[in-house]
Amino acid sequence: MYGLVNQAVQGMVIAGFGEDVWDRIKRDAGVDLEAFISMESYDDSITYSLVKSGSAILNMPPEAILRAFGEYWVLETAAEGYPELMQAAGSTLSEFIGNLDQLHSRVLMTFPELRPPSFKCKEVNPGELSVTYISDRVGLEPMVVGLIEGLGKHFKTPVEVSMVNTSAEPSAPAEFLVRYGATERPE
Amino acid sequence: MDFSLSKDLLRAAFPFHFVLDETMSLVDVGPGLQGLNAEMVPGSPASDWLTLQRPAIGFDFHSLTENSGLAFMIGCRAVDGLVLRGQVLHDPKQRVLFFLGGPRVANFAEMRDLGLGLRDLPPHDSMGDMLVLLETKQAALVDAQKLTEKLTMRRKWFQALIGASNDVVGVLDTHGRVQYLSPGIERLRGIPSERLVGELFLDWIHEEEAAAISAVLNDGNWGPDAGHHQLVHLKDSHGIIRTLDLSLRNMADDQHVGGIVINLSDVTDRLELRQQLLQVQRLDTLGQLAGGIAHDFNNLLFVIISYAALLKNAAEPGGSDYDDLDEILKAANDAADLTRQILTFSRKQDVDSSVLSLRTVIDEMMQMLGRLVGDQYPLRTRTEGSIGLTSGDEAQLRQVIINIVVNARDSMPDGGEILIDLEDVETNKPSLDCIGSPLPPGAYIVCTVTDNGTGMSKEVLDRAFEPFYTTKGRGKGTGLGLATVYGMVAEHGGGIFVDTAVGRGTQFSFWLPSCDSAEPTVIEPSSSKVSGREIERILVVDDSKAILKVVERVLGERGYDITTKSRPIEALELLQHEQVDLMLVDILMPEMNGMQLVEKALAQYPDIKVLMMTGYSTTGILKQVDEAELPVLWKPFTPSALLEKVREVLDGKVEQTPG
Repeated sequence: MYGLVNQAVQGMVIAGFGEDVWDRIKRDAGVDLEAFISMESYDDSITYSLVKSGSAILNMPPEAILRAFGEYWVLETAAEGYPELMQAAGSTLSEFIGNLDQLHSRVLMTFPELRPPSFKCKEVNPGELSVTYISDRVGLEPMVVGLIEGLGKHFKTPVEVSMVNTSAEPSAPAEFLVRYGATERPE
Repeated sequence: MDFSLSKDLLRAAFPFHFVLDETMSLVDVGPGLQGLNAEMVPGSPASDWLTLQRPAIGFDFHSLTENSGLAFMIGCRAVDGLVLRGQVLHDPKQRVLFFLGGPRVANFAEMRDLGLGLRDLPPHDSMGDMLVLLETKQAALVDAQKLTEKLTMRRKWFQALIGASNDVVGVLDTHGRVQYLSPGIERLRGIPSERLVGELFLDWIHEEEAAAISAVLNDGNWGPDAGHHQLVHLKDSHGIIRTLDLSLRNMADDQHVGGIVINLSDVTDRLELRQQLLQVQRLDTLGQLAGGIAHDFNNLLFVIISYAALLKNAAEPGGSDYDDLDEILKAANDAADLTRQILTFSRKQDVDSSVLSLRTVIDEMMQMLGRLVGDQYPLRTRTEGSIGLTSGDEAQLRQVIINIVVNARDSMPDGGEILIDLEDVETNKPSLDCIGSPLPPGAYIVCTVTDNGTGMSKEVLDRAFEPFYTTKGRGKGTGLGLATVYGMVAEHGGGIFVDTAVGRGTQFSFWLPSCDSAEPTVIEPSSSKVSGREIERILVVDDSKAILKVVERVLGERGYDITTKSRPIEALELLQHEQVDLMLVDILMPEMNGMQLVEKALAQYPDIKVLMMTGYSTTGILKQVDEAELPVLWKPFTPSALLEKVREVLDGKVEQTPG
């Protein structure tokens, strides 16, 4: 994964628990790096080790960490670090999720080693989206829940995400049902 | 196979296209362009909506056709800031011009300001890719900037930390050349650390120590992470030899260090302090030992002197027995002088203090000192400014000066000048490290005796103040001279400094606290009670039966009624049923010391007179005796001295404070 992801994990831990806890997690994970470079590619095992150590030290299940990380990714990493890109990718929840594949394909030009997931979005009923997620990495579905919840907050749209099924193997589709309400308009 | 692009496909592929006929009217407008300006519809003149910015040609059908190979930039009047970038293609068959292109934007912010998003760009348009690239590169730049700031802060933090440390840390290459040393090295070398890079560290230290370190560095078995530790000596920028605790760690294979990590800790002061502490402890131990011996020795001398005096009194003057006994008494008195010196070293002698001018004392001594050292040793005094007063025992201070001057003389077998300096010194230092206990801040009178004699090695100086230590050879010195000086100066609350080296001579200074004014010593007149001449009863208490026997005989012969007890408990029992006029009590006794016995006795019988006697006592008990203002008779004493003192106490010429 790119350093951007590990930076986000670092940012989330420091914001919630402080530098000392982050240092402990890093030590426990055997990560001997002062900082991550956003555009440099790191082995996936680093990210997994950080999540595993975070789970043990913070006494939180890995799923909860991934879900919190998904939300943090949208609200802090993407919205703070790439606000224009976020804005250019869509102005509503459904438009944004619908544009994600196109966004990822453009991002691939910049991050050639990126292995982004694919998102397909279909409005099954008014206020109900069916989101299909395909990734060659397994076990990251809780992070997708957090990502969609984060997007709901980003677009000021109440959402309720439920996992319909999970992927048992790499590149097998997982499905989510997203119920969303009316978007709050600024007064 | 002929084929053409349908209007719908054209609109999907180029949402910002437009088509012009030969009259320069709009034939078709792409949905993206129309989305920005809904009034821009087919049939309207192009010049109403569009302006040609580049190339610099006329905005007419012919000019556009002629230049259709160029890149065009066309402004949109209705949308502020929107410039379309693309190319113009001429279709002669349909007699129309196609403009195929899209908005020219530099970043997502411009895109947003135009009301556009990524969704408005067709997937094949690489403009979107470029904007993503720019956005991420910009974020990466911010990232790098933050990282640089963090690393700069961390570097400054480490620099401050290392700079504030008293230790020096650094890295040497495997040959011992300096790669880096922390700023603390400037305190030692007097040169900024960056200017020492490349110098051979081993050149700075003692040759033998450098050889030992070099052997370690060249030892093939001294592998990664191996350590080495030793003391080294380095001459600092003031020419003073400093002792450094050196640690080395081999981190040559560590990619982050790539050298030998060195740590230098200046332990000079710590070692000197430890040395001083050991010296004080050694002198104190010797003092206690010497005092203990003097106590027993005094008791024996007292018995010898007393019996010799009794025999001499009975002998006929001029007879051989009389002369022999006189010789015994002289020798015993010499021995008593010796024990007095030992007691001075162990600081158990009373100081008879008065305010005095050391300058006057020395001036008065000059003639005597001159005779003492001889013509080969010219004596000179030098005084810096006016010299204040000090409080002390004049006789003891005279002894101090004599002992130091004699030592100076003896260090110059071929003769030489002896200089005596006097000066007032005021020190604000929290403590001055001298021989003995450190001196507190304050004003001092400093007397320095300088010679250019043989000087002393460190080993000799370390032991110079020990009693019976002498370098003068058998029979030439008692080894008590400097020990006595040490005891006397310490007793006066002063300190001793010695600056000496073999072949360089010696500067010997003693510091005494100065006092503000000469307050006259008032001697209280003693009351003169007249005692009756009835037989007075005296209780003598001493754990030495030999002393009890001789005291009983001396006082008994004078007509006193004597009772002796060797245990304080027995003395107290006797007092319960018998009356005594005077208690003569030894201070240092097992079971109960003399002061405890006297306190108990006076608590019940406050009218009893008390006379204490001692040959040596610990400072604590003596202080109690002194506070109770009890008279003391120092052993060994002569029978006449005993009789005289007993009479004085009984007559009330010496007052005592009742317990």
